[in-house]
Amino acid sequence: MRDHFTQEIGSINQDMLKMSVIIEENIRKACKALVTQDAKLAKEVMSDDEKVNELELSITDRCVLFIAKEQPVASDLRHIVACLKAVSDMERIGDYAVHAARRAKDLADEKYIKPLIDLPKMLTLGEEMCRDAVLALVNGDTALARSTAARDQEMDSLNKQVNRDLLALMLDDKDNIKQGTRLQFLSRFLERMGDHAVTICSWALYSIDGRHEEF
Amino acid sequence: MNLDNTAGLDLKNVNIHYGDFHAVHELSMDFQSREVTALIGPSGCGKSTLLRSLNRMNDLIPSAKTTGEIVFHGKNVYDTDVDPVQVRRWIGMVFQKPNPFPKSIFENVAWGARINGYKGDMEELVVTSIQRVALWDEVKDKLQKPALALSGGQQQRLCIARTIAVQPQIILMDEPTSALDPISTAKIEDLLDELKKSYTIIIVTHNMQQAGRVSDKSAFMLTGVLEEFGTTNEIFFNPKNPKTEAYISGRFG
Amino acid sequence: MSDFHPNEKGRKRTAGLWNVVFLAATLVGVLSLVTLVTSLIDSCFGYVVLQDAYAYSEVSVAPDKALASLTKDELVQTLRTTAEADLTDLTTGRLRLLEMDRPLEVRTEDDLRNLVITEVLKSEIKKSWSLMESLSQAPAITEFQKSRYPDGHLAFRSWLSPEFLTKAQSGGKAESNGLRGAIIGSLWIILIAIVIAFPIGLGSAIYLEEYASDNWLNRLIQTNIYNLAGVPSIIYGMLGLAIFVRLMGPITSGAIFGVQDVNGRTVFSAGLTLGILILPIIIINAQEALKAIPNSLRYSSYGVGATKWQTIWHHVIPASMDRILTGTVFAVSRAIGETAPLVVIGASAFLTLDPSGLFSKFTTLPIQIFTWSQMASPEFRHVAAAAIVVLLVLLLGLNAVAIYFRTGIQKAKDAL
Repeated sequence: MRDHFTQEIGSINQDMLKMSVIIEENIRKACKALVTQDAKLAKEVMSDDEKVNELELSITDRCVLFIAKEQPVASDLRHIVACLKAVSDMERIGDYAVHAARRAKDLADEKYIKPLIDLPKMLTLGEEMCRDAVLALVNGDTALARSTAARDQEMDSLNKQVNRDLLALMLDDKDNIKQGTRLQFLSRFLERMGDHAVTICSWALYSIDGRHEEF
Repeated sequence: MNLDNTAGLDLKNVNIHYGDFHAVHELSMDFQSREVTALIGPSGCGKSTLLRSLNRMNDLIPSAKTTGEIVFHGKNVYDTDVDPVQVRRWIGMVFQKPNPFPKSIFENVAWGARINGYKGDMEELVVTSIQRVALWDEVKDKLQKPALALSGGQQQRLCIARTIAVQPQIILMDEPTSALDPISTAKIEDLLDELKKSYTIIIVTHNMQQAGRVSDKSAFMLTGVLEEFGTTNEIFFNPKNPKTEAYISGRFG
Repeated sequence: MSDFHPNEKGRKRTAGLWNVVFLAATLVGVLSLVTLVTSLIDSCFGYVVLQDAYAYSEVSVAPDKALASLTKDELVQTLRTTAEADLTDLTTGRLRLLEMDRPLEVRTEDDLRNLVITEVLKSEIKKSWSLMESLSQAPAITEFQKSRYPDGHLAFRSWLSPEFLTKAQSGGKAESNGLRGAIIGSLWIILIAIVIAFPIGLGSAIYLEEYASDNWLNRLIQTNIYNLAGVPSIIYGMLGLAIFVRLMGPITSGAIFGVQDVNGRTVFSAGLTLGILILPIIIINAQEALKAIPNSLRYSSYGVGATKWQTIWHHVIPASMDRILTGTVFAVSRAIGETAPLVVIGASAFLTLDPSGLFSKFTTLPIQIFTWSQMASPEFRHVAAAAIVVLLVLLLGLNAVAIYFRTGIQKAKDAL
C-alpha cells in the first residue's frame, strides 16, 4: 500500500546517502591534498562542494513536499524531520572539508613545520563518523548511532594533541607561529566536524524512538 | 443520578454481538469528560458498532446484543431499569449523512426539546442552539423555511444544533463530515473545539488527519479489539502498538 | 478498435421499430378510450318523439294558456284536480307519494311543469335516436314522426341533465328515471367503507411495519393480506351476505335500535362489506408508504430521545401521508365501481325512497347501470349511458383529488 509514499521516502534516503558519499569523498581528497600538498586536488574539493550545497537544498524541498502531500505521521514523520535537520549538519561537515582543502592550497608551497599525522587522522575520523552517522539515520540503526557518537571523544583528544604539539612548536620558534596558528584553526574546525556528526546521530535516535538525547 | 456535571463514559468488558458475529471484544476504556475522543480503525473494525451501543441505538437492531458495562454517572446504561429513550436524551447522536426532519428549520431544533418537556423560552433555545453551531447568520431570516432546502454542510450543522438543543452531556458523532465538502468539514471541525468546552464528544472518523486535528485522545480498533488508546499526540507522534503505526501511516486499512 | 462492429444503422433501426411498437400500443389504448367516450356521448343525446296520452286542453285548469306559461299555482292546481278527478292515470295515491318525496309547494316551477308533463299528460317517448343518427338523419326522422306519430312532436333531448341527477328512480319508463337514489346510495356506502377501512387499515399497516417482529406468525398474516387483496370481489359479497346481512342481521338491520320492519340488506351492511373489501388494499398501500420512509428519519428522531410512538406520529406518518391518502383515494375509486358483491348483499333493483340512514335499503351507481342496461325498452340504453357518464365523471373527480393530495402535500412540504 502507498507505493508512492514508500518509494519517495526511499528516494530521499538515497539522496542522503549520495550527499554523504560526496562529502566523504571531499574529506578524503582534502586529506590527501593536505598531506601531499596538492593544490589542484584542493581546488577540486572546493568546486565539488557546489554539489553538496545543491543536494542539501533539493533534499529539503523534497522533504517539505512530502509532508505537504503525504501527511506522514509517527515514525515516517520523525524520519523526514530528522532528515531535514541532518542535511544542514551534513552541509556543515562538507564546509569543513572545504576549509581543510583551502588550508591545503594555501600551504601547498610551504614546507610543513612538522609532518602532519594527527590532522589527517582527524579528517579520516571525520569521514568515518559522517558516513556512519548518515547510515545510522537512514537505516534506523540505534547501536551504530551510539557508537559513532562515542567516537567524538577520539576527535576531541586528537584535537587536544594537535594543539599541544603545535603550541610546543610555536613556543619553540617564532617563525612557526604563522603556519602553526593556521593549522590550529584547521584542527578546531575538524573537531567541529565530529560535533556535527554527533548531532546527526542524535537525529537518528529521534527518528527511531522520538527522544532527544544528548551524548 | 446527579446530572449536574458533564460526565464521561466508563466502559468495562463490553462485548457486542450481531447474531453469531462477535463485533466488539472485551473492550474497556474511559471517555474523559469534556474531551474529544476519536475512534479510528479500518472499515468493519467495530467502531461504529461501539458508538451506537453507547446510547443504545443498537437496541433498534433486533440481532444486536450488548454485554458488559457502559457506565454514565455511576449507572450502567444497559441495566434493566434504564429506559433507552432517556439514555438517548443525555447521550445524543449526529449521523454520517445529514438527516434533518422534513420540517422547518425552527421546528427541527425545537421538536426534540419539546418532546423532552422543555418548558423554558423555546425561541431563545432555538436561537442559541443555532448560534452555537455557527449557522445563525445563514438562516436567521428563514427559520420557517424547510430544513431540507439547506446545503449539506448547513444541514449537518443544523443536526448538531438539534442535538444540543436537548442539552445532552455527551455527543456521539458517526463520521459527521464524510459526506461533506472540505469547507463544510472545516467549519464543523472548528465547531468541535467550541463544543468540547461544554460536552464530551466521541467521534468516529475514517479521516486520519481529521482525528489528528480535532481529537484530544484517540482509540485505535482492529477487528473489534481495542489495540491502542492514548492521547492523540502520542498516537500520532510515537504509537506504542506497531499495528497502530501501520494503520495511521496508511500501510493497510 | 478492430474488435468492435458498431452496426449503428441496425441498432437505430431496431430502436426505431420498438418506438413504433410502443406508439402503436399507446394509440390502441387511446383509440379504445375515444371509442368508449364517443359511444357514451352518442347515447346521451338525441331526438325523441313525444306523444301525450292525454290532451292538455282537457286537463289544464287554464286551457287557453300554454303549458309553458302556467304559473306555479296553476300547475299545482292542475295536478291536484286531475288526481282527484281521476282524469288521467295520475292517482291520488301516486300524488301522495310524490308529495311525500317532496311537497308540491316546495318544488320549482320547472319541476312542477315536468310533473304535469310526465304524470298528467303522460308524455311518453315513443322512439328515440342517438346523437349521430339525430345529426345525420334529421330529415328522415322528421318524416318518420309525421307519418307514424302525427299527434306527437319531435324534441331534442339531453338524457344527461341536472334533472336526471336529482330525479328519483321510478321504474317503468326510461325518461322518468333519475339517478338520485343511486348517487346517494353510493355516497353513503363509500362513506361507511372509508370510516371503517381507513383507521383499521392505517392502524394495521403501522403495526405490521413498525411494531411487529419478523416471526412466522407475522409473516403469515402479511401473506394473507396480500392474498386477500386479490380475492374476487364477489367472494366479499358472499362474506357480507353471510355475516353482515344474516349473522349480524339484528345490528345491521337496525332491529336492535328499534327500527321497524327491516332486514339486513341495508346501507350499513353494504358499507361494511365494501370496507372489508378495500381494507387489504389500504393496508398494503399504507405499508408501502411507510416502508418508503428511510430509516435515517427514524434514527434521527430516536437520536434526540423520542419514543417509538412519537417518532411514528410526528415524523413517519406525516412524511408518508401523501402516499397513504393517494392510495386510499384509489381504493375508494375501485370501491365505487364494485357491483357484484353489492348485488349479492341485496341491493334493491327498484328503490322508491332515497336511502336516508344506516338502515335504509340501497342501490348504487353501478348497480343502477346494470339494472337499466337489462331493461327491454330501447330507451333505457340512453339513461344507462348517462349514468355511466356520471360514474366516470365521479371517478375522474376522485382521481383529481388523489393527484391534488399528492402534489399539494408535496408543495406544502417544499414551501412550508
